[in-house]
Amino acid sequence: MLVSTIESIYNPNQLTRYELIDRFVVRQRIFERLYRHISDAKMNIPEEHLLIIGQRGMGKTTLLLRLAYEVEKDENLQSWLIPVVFREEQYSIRKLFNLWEETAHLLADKDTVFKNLFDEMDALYTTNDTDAEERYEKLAFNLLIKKLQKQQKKIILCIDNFQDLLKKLSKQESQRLRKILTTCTDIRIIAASPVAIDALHDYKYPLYEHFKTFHLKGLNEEQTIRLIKKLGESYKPKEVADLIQNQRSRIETIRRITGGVIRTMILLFEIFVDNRKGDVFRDLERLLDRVTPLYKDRTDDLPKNQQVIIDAIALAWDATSTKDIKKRTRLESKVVSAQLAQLAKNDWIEVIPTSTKNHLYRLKERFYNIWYLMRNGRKKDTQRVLWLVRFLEDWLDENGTNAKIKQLIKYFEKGEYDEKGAFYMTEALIQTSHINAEKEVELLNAAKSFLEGKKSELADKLSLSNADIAMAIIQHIYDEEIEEALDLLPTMRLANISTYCFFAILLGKKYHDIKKKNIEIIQSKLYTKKIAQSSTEFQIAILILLAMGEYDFLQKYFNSDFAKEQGLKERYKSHWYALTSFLQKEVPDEYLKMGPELYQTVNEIIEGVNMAKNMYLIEDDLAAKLVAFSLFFPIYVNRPSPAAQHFP
Amino acid sequence: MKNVPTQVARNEDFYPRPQIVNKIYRRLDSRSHIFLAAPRRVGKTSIMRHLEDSPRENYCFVYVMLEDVYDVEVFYYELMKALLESKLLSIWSRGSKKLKDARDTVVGRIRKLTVPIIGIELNEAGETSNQKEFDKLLTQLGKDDTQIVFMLDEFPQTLENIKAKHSPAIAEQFLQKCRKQRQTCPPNIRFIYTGSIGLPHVVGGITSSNVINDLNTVEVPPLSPENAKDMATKILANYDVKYDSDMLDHLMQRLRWLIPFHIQLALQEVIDIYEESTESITRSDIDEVFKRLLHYRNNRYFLQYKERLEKAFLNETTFAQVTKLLNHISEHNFISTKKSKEILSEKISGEDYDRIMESLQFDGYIYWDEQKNTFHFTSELLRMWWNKFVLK
Repeated sequence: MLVSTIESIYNPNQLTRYELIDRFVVRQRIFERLYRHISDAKMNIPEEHLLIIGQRGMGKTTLLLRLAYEVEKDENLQSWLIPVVFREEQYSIRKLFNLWEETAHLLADKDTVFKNLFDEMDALYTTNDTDAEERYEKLAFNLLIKKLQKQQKKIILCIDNFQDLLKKLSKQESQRLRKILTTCTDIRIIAASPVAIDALHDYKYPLYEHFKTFHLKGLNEEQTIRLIKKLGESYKPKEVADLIQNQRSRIETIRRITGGVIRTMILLFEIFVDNRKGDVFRDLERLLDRVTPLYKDRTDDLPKNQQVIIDAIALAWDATSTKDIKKRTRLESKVVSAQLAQLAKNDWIEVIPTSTKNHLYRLKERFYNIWYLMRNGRKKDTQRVLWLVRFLEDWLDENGTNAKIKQLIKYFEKGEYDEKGAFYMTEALIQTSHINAEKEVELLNAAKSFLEGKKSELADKLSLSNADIAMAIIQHIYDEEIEEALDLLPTMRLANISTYCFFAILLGKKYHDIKKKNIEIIQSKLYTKKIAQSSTEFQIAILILLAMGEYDFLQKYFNSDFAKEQGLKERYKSHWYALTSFLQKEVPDEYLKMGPELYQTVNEIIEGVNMAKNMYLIEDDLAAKLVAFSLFFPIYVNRPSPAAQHFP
Repeated sequence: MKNVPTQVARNEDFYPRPQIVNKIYRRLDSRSHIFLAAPRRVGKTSIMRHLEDSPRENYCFVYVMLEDVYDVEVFYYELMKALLESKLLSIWSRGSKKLKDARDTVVGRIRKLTVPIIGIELNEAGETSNQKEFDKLLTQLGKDDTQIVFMLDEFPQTLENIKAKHSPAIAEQFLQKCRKQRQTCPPNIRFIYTGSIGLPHVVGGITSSNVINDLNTVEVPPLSPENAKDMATKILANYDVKYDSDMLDHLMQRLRWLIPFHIQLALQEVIDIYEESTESITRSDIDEVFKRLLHYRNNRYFLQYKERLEKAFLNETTFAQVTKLLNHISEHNFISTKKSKEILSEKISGEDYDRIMESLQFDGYIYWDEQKNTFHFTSELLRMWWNKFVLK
């Protein structure tokens, strides 16, 4: 039986030789080029060593294995050339001699004539002098070569994550390895690395010069289709056929957001066509565990400032500006710029040019970013599934989102879904921009009952709905726990300007700073097109600001370039004249310009402002404010809530 | 002929360089020990391996790569090990009884050696046990008339290593031993020293250059345009690349400094472009070749030129001024003698001017156009790289 796709993609070592060869449908051209380098060489002189560079998930491991299998079945090579494939992570190799020891172990698995090689090597180790390891390395290497020559065999070492090995070598060891690479005719290396070797090589020593490099790029559209077609032969044929037939643009969406990285594409693809009831998330978790040591090492190896910057960029997921990075990291601008340049040079991040001088930055390896969010995203907020949110937003429109929610709820009700999958999908869906408040509550309730039914601790970790958050805020205010209320406010995902308006009123004079902050938020939101174009939101905001006496701001606002661009004075004439009525001293002529047809509307607005003013002055009448709140959030009226008892 | 930019070209992949090879033989025939001088990647190692692979009659070359050697004891061990693996002993074993006996003695002597236990003290005469063994071996080798040439690649690196691990005094002692060995060894033994860092420069950091003034310097020049074109033709034929007749002339003109390595790098791009498009390569494709060559991915091949300067000019001010000088040339394509003096004398004493300019010329960075009295980058490729990545 075939192993599940996701797992095999992440761990091609688990595939059988037949499966791997059968599924090898992209990267043929580079495979052929590499293979020609192997098959044409007799290795009677030191040959060029080969290095495959490509982001993680681009198919390096698969390519190495594919080459090894080809050597094994090639009649011209199999008699004298042995491919020795190293495990993807070589934690046991920390010195050059470990490389020869590991080679001895792997050779023993290949051919019984080498079964005692390691023991013989091991026996050469003595600890009676200061340079024991250096001496042992030479002895071990000599023994390996002697044994190979005796058997008339040569070896080709297939080493994944070669950069990790190089990093561990001392200067002397890397000089030694360079010597071996340029003089030894019995060993050839085919290495793979997610980063350019020279970027890691501190010793400024030209070891990397001796590798002929091949760069794996992201798959193009045609290759992606070929890959997915192949996948469909053994896996979800119906969904795959439908996808290829009718939804090519979706495949292209996946390809673009992943940069054509095979691993990440398959992962997202599986999440979309998931009919395994969330099992894909279990695979994902396993996979994340597997890459954790590797990714952690990689992150830890970065200089401190770069770690901080990577953290900021990773948690943002989307491309982010230097300004935002600076804000999040609190590093100086020039430090941020210098480190960003370094990170770009080392292929950590990708620079996205904009029309201005200020570029945007994004982590290059999207799967590393997924890992970072899932493992380092702060538990309290919903960063962990940000990647999934963006993907779902790109992939599904409002109808699609609703359909997905409906499908999930059905699974939840039947009790048929992976628990983690239920958790992640729910968390991601409630953050997407296509969801509305009712669907959100519905999905969260279903997920909660499902997880509680499974006695899963994840039930308590589900986010609160917007409605629940709003109620909780009100309860905190009622209990005079203002800090707690304010902490919750930014967690409202569907928070709109009304929310801020309401709390600006609610918190009243007593909490001047907080009021000021909320007013600032309203003011800044007024400069967004979204608000300027939403009649209700806009009118509420103007009303509240008038009630707060923010006349100066409003005057400037209506006269701003932004307002002119949006034609606001024209569209909201009544509001403008209502404002000028409060500014009769400052701009007496303006108020007089008002035409008689507007009198009534303007008066109504002024009346509304005075009402709001009164409301704002009554500091202790919470119930009145709750009524006002319920006007802004009709959905809460029918819901029992801790605050309901305070309604008149 | 294969294109092998990342490995030492051997056998049929080596482009024959009879002129330089003849020159080396002439020096060897006159019993000189040689210092083979050339900037990095000009093809020194390939030439040595060619001498080893296809020696003239009665010559035997023993190639030893020494860059990972940090101890005098190991140095001699490596020399003897290389001898054991060389063709000499198999030639002897096919020869007269006298030669066979000599072979047995040599093999017996060397086989007794094991990988040395390093860090041992030198004896009072400053000799290691392997060194004494090596001296005895040389006497043994002197009994035959085969001309035996030890080619010591990366010898300056060994000196640096010994100096760093032990002390400058040990390195100096070692240099003097080497000199004495050259003077006292049997007449059929010769040494060729070479390395990617300049021997005079390294020796200068240890002791007086007298210790190497007996070496006969042979410089390895770049290829002539005709040879470069011939080499490229042979390589492209191997990959069935089709191209217009004037393409190679244009490429060589653009490269200007025709060292095999740069030609191979450029050909690698030519081959790639051909494989991608399968259309005949034309003059206009050379722009694309240069564009690709100057992609940051290839920095690994060029960074060494900058890093070497840091090593060569340890004084920060000197390094900064030299960089400024090269920046100027990379930007303006040339620099007048007057302007170059101005830049360097801003912060460095005038006496150093000649030394610095000589060193830059010797290491292949710049050349002097006598007629125009101007300095230029030797390699146009390097100038473009410098302009793109150093000057920015």
